Amino acid sequence: MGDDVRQRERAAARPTAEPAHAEPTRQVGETASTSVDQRPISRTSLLYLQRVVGNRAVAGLMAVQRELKLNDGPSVAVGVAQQQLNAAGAKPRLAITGRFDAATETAVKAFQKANKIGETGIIDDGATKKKLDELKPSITAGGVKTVESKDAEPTGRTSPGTHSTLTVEERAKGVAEKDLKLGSKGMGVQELQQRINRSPTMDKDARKKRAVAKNLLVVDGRFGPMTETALKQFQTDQTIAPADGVATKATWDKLEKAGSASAGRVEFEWREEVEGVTNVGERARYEWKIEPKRLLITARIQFVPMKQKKDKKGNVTGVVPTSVGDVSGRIQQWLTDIRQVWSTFKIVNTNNPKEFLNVDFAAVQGTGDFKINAIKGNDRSNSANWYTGDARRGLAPHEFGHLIGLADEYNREEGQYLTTTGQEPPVGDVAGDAAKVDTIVAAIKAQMPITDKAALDANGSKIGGQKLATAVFSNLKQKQGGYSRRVAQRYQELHKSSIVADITSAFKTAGFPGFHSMKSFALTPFLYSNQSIMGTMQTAEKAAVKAVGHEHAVEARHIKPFADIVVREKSIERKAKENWEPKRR
Amino acid sequence: MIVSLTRSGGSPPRYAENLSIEEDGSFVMRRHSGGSRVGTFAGTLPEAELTRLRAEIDACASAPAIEPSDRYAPDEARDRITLGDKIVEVRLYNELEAPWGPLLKHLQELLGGLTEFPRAALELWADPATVSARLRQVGEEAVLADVSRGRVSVRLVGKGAETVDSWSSALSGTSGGDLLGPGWEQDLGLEEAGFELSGDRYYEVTVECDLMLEVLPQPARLTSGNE
Repeated sequence: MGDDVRQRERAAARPTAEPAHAEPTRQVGETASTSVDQRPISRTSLLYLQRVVGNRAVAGLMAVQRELKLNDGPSVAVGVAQQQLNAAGAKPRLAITGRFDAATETAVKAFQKANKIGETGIIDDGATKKKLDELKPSITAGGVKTVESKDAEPTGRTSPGTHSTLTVEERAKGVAEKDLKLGSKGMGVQELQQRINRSPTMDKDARKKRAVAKNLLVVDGRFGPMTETALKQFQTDQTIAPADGVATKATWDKLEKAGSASAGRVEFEWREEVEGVTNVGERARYEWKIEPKRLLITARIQFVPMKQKKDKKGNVTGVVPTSVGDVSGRIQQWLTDIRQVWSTFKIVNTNNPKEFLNVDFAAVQGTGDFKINAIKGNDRSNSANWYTGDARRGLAPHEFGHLIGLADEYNREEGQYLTTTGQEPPVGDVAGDAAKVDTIVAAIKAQMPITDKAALDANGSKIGGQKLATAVFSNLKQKQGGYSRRVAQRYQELHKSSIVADITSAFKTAGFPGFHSMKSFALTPFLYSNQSIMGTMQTAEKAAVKAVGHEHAVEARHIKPFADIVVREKSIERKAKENWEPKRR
Repeated sequence: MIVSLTRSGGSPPRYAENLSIEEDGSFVMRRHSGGSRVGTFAGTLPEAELTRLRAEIDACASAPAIEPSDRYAPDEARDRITLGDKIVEVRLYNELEAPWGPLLKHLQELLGGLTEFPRAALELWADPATVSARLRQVGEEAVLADVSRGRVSVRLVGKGAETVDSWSSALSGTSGGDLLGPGWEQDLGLEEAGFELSGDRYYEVTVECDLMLEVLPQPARLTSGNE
């Protein structure tokens, strides 16, 4: 037992809104063996060198350390430069290997040409480095060093609009939308009534001239005849056919531009791919309300009380219903965790920084949105089953993120990581023997197709797909980043296909299409993760133990979709383009 | 093999549970999470269990397979039955109608109950009277486990399963794994937590470590307590 790493957390004394994690001193997968040019030179060493060899020599040494050129690396510095060049628009995108290869040199020259800098292909400490840092600065976010590359689409949403009531599959089958119409009720109707009231259709002069729809609607969330008449009038005014008083997507698209609302409901389908499993996702549902001092996002969760069923000897054999009193205390803690972890941002009007709204999130108990089994017992949780004994404070906040439409940020393929986070994939672990890359590629390729297809061998000591998993793990462990990326790059060069796609396909063909522990071993090095609330949930490293309550943080990109609601509504209301940005409180 | 049950998915580290049963009732099972024992289990089903299982299998013989959905919820866990060339897959703890439903429930029960037949396994034993626990090897064969990056954690539980207090500590071990043979056990030092049991409070203890599949460190999670 290691005495140095004992941690304790008093549940009752949790801080309310402190940043949820400290900056790590080392990146995910980054090792002490990372190349020399990243080692900091201490102030004492510099002073000593200055005394011995003089200022000019020391300055020269520093310049040599910072200059990056063909065949340099592997180093994090080269990886960061590759991130910056990608973000600056390198075509084709560079593989972030931490190795200054010919493609990197070409990208540097292109960058220099575009920025009217001498085309040396070298990133020195002068103009090129300065320009890269100026245009695409390296930042630390979600616990990893990265570069903002593009606007994130953290939801990975596939729905064309916020008010579609269909799943992706239903829409593909041509199922009719369950649109708002006479008899509907709820927050969506309330939003519709507000928007109609604030649209040109209900302008005072316009109403005077008409025989119908003369009065503003009572915003009561009930779709009655008055609402129907007003909606028909709106559709007529906006030339939406048919003007039938049914709020379809086409009508919503117009409503969301014609009149603002202070509250509404959002539903949409989102999908992601994690560890080669496609079609992962669910239906996001939440309500939003713009109040004078805050934006409130609320999702309703119906917790179904369950408990682990045990046989006479105490072995867990399933789950059975139980009373709410068995799990009510833990449910309250989950709801508190969600509020505390998520309500840490505000959004600020960039045109008037004194104007801001706190962004508060609340999961409340209620029917209609989500159903989750609250299971008294102790096991690994999943999206639909939360165990009271799962002590990870990040559990409920992470799963809540999915409920409001946010995708995972762990074990994502490079392009998906980029799209989801809007940031360049982490440089990660760049150290590794360049001479062994071809051997590693060959060892992995030799295990495809998968021959050990039995889910479990007769001795219970081997699991299907273990040979391929072992070929990857023996060489790369589970280290994500530069060196594994180099292996993937070489695989692509030699076999003209993606290593991620080939491994995924190999497991699928062998009869393992879904999540599978051996597939996870085989794919993990070639995927990307961060340490945000939507990233990895594991926190306990022996060398840097974190307490149970010390989990990963919400990032600005997670707040952006909600800030966009305020931007939309304020822009309509003020008849001017607004710009509000998330800032940590 | 006449039938197998595989549990996979869930929030990382994901489930990797397998039970495979042969025609003569012999079985082999690999558990990594879900109770107080993990590792390899093997033996022969009691005759009554085997008879019941055969009847359930026969009932499914003429039933069509249930095509697994290709749509996954985030961190979704699933149970999969493989019966000959038929595969039935269901979200964990979702119900299935007969004839697959009874077979699924039975296999889920066996996945827990057959941990009574350890071959090379670890067991987490929790003292019912005081906050104290031991990790020990069970079964005739040694188990290769890496606890060097593992942790033990204790949750003091109050009304409504709320966390009243929690404590955790690293485990010590050899990186790459130790061969833990019969007789091996380790006190987990929970007295360090200083928890006192009173009234309706109880404690849960969780150990996370790796079971080695040759070189692969497969994450394992053992749980126990005194409720």
